[in-house]
Amino acid sequence: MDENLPLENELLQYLDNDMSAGDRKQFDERLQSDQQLRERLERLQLARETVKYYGINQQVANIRRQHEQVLSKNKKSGARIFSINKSFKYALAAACVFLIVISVKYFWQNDTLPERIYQDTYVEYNVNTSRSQDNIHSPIEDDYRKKDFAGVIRLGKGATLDTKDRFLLALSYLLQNNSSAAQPLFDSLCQESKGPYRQDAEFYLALAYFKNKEYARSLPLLKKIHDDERHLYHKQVSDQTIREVEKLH
Amino acid sequence: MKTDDQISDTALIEKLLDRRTEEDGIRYLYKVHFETLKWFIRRNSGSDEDAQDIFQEVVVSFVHLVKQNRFKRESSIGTFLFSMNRNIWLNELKRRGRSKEREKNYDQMLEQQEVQMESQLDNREASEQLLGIMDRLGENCKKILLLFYYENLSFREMLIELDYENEQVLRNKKYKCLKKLEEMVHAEKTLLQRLKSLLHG
Repeated sequence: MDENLPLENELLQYLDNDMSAGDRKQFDERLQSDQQLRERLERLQLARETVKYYGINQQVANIRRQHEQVLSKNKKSGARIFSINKSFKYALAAACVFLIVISVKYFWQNDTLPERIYQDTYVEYNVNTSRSQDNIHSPIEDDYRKKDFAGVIRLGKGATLDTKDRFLLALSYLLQNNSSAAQPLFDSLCQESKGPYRQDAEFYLALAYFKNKEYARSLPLLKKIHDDERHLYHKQVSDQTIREVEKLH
Repeated sequence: MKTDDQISDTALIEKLLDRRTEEDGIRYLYKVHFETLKWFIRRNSGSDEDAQDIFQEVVVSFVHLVKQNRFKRESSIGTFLFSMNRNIWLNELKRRGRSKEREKNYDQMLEQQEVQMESQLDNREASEQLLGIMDRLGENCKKILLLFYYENLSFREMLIELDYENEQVLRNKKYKCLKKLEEMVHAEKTLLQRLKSLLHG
């Protein structure tokens, strides 16, 4: 330590705020009158502020490093997320395509395919080719010929009908998309082993079941028609029809 | 509208003044103001690294101002930092000798400056010089002075971290270190005024 140590100590105590209030007041007075002492204090204050500034800089630099790391991490994770997103997008696109294919297939099988089978299989019953040769038509047949199927149903409800009118009534129900009402009528006609409309009834009953999505009941009738070459509707039920209905079944 | 984690300028200054919460305050400055100030630098020919360098300098200068009770609150902290950032960056561009057009813009922008801007804005070299001096001081002295003047630890507390026999030995060592630093600072004759300006305004 130098020869001015006592003064240096006082300067340091003043600088470090390590003086009593009284001593500080006295030192302030000395500073007022002693230019050299004031300059000496300023040098020490400058050194002290240098340390403080350096400390703040160290602190900020440390936080800056952490901040940069976070930014870098976010950037990387952002890139990774982007990459994942990109991959995910491809996967999602593939999954979507797959789902669309499956959905189309499902839709085709459950909606379009039955409709197509029905349309391919259905044949309009031509009343003019009726096995009845007379020209006298019942009111039901008249309405049927006029394609007034609602009229047929209206006339047929609760009425005692002959075989033909029952058949036309059943067909009218089928054409009016009331398969459930058509089914018992067709079924009763099917039971008439020698009835003139048995084979017609079998065919249209199969279609009525089919239209009602009752494939398990439709399929045996269709197979019967398909297997019977002499059946009136044999040509309407192809191998493909059977395969497709089996798929639905 | 303030979000839940936003704090007022007054609260932020209090944080920066307290050594225990100073770090939180600095983190807050980074969190809230860095992107805006970076945007300015990126928009004015600067890189991300430039933005980080300048922001560090802005924060150091601002915190130092606050600790010296020299931040006059004539504008919000955000406005003050933005102005400080802008001026330090434009000074840096000037220093790098960019185009005359940019200098012209710089002069125009300085004229528009309304907030409190003290002389530390033109003291980047002084700041670098100051940091260099501290690094040359030696690790031991640097640690002692930092613990005492920056961390505000007592000699008793410092003894826990430093390998000295007793408080008096440490006190003497601290004196020698400060004296050494004082001499080093004053040996940099050309920078002395700049340092005075930087540290005292």
